[in-house]
Amino acid sequence: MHILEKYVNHFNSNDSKVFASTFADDCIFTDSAPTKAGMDPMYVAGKECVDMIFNMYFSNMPMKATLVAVKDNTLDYIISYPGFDMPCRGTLLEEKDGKIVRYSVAFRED
Amino acid sequence: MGFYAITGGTTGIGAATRKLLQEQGHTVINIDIKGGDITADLAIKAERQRAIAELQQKAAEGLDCFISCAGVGPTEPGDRIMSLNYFAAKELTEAAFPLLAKKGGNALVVSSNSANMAGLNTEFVAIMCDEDDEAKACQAAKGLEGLAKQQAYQGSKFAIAKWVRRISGKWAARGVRINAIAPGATMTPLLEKGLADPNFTTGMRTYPIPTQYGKADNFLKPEQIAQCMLFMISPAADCLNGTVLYADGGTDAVLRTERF
Repeated sequence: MHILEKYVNHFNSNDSKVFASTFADDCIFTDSAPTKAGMDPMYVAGKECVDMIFNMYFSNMPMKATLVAVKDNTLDYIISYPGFDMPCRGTLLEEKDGKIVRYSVAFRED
Repeated sequence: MGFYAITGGTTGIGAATRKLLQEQGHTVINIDIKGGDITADLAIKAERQRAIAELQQKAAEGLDCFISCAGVGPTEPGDRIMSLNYFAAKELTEAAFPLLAKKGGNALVVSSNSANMAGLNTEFVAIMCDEDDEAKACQAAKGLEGLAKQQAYQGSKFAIAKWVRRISGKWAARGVRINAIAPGATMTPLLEKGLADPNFTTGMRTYPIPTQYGKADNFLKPEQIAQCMLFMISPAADCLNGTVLYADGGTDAVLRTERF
């Protein structure tokens, strides 16, 4: 299974520890898509912070990732939470030992 | 030894701060709804005026510091949140200015790290900060129910920090420093009420606090915030003015990494 497909599956568990296990210890996760919903962009450094931040999100609002396409290091998907469907493009910038080291998400315009 | 006044010094962060100051030998006048040296419900305008008059009498020689700590959380009625967290905090701190000026003292106002999070109701903030209209603010927030009351809480805490920043230059130029502290999720009666409310419990329990990660204790302690406050009001912090200090274990930094 492609690591980005695993990313989607782990996201859909809505379990922050499972989701964080997709990432390397010193990962960097950035996401500018929330700015489309009036929220702050995310810069998450370290697996512990992935766990903490997504524990807050998953606990407060069920979220779903719908896979659209995976091509090379790019993942097109839709993030859905109550009242919002957000087309996103994730780019895998670095992978090591089956874990995501650097991953960047942006709003998908196309 | 110094002469201090604090609002909300009976419980929570205010009580921890008062205790530390008293242990250092300072005299502290506590203004609170229960158990205060001056007892008053500061959400009520007439009570506020009476408390100010009593403070002026008790601290006629001046104050070394005024700490505005009294506040309520988002489980309380919206109008009470607006009156106490913004209008009372502002009015009492303003009233303390001449007393502080007599001794070259400083003021510290308690805001919240939720002030700058997503969802800020900017209309509420404008009614408070720009229109300065308590009746209109209370009317706007009165009908809020459940989770929506967070708008009143967040708005009031943002507004009071904004007020501090706005007047800080003028005050400092006249010899009185003023700062704000923005505590994170701290185990106080305010937080306990939130944890007991189904509208707020999940949100409060899952707030990320990096310094508490992996620890059995999910929340900060009032004494930790009080220690930061003691530094802010001390001569060691004499170059701090108009600062909003996030004493939240790193919550704001992880949720608003790119904006400060």
